[in-house]
Amino acid sequence: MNASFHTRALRRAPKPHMLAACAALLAGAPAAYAHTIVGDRVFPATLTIDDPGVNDELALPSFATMTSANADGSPGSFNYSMGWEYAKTITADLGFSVGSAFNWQTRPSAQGWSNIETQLKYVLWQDAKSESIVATAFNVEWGNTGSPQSASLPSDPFTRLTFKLYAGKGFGDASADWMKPFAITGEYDFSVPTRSSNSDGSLNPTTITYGATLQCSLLYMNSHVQELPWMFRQLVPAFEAVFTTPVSNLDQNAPGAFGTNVTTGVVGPSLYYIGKYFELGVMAQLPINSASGAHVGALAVVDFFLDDIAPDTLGKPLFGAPQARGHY
Amino acid sequence: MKTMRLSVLAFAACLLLASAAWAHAFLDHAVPAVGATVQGSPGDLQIAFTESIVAAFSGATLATAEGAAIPTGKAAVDPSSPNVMRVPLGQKLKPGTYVVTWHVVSVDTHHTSGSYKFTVAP
Repeated sequence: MNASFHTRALRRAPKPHMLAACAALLAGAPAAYAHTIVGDRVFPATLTIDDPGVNDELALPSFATMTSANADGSPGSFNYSMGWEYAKTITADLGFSVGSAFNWQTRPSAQGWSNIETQLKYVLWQDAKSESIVATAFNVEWGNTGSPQSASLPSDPFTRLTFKLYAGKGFGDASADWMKPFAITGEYDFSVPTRSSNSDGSLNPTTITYGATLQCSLLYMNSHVQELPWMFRQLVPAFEAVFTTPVSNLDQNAPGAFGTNVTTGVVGPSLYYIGKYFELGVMAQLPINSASGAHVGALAVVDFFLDDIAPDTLGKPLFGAPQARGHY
Repeated sequence: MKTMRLSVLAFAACLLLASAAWAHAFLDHAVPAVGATVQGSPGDLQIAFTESIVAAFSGATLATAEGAAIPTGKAAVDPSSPNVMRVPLGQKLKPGTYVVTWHVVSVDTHHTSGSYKFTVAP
């Protein structure tokens, strides 16, 4: 979800400061949320990129804020986004998700709904013993399903298709005990607009988005390496990064505006609490350049685990048995 | 936004209140503790999970750090604490490092597993 928001902002915002604002805010806007369990490893639903599995979950709400910068260095608008996403397993390895977000800003004031996004995700391979998983997804942001072009913050009037690859690896199989709590995840997206240009002559770029997380699971440390005080046992601190680069069909650079081929993105520390039925996540997002934002922003999510809340109804696949957990 | 906030809270409350369900059972604490060094052999292993577990589908094994299996009694769920598994040892452990490998099924049928070490000091 973040990739399409990000690239949409880069493509079509008519005013440079709004362009930067949207790009900055939505670079870190949450992707499809779901926590994944592979072997003994819990991969939390991370804030900058999606986790590498499929599950039955509801992210409600997700929140993002970032202050933009103008190309001349002056501060731009304050940008906010409140989103939701529902993820449903069709089989143990195939999942569907749908979501959207309401975006608003001040200085100047504007607001509007994002387009609705849907996604089919498939786990290509996973191995419990090595805590490894690889998945792929096909995401569609449906044009004209958000706020109309007459809105102060309209949605894109065209559809965007995104192909995604995910991977995750926990280091529980490492020989050194200190490495066992660590895990990494990554995502790579290739996003193509279904319309190359707009009525005003501006171009819609093809983009790539790439991101990664480095996680240190205290949940894993407590149960596998070293018992921790109770207040730390369900926490997963992490460091995350996500970037988007326009790669083709680029507008010519305009004076006084950010370059149309500039890579934008955010990095920053995050912290997740894994509860019985839900996860709480927060992140400080630092823009990598002025095209990405003026200063530190924030991301947050409340993610409900429907497979734990309603394991016999909403929380199980439509067809077949749930994904096996554990090593046996 | 007020409407959205109220809707979110109401939905969350409904989900939580309506859930007569459970969650994945993760290891919360153990005796001897995960990664701990203890003086003298413990009489049994106690492994406490975050959820209640099903005795019939739960168990644990003990081995030396080199992988040699140590015979134990049959794992059982503590009748007074349905989230605690007890594994009687039936023998005194010699000084050394031991590996406990466990698997459990929580009462909502979620499987989880794991392993940890503890050391008996000389």
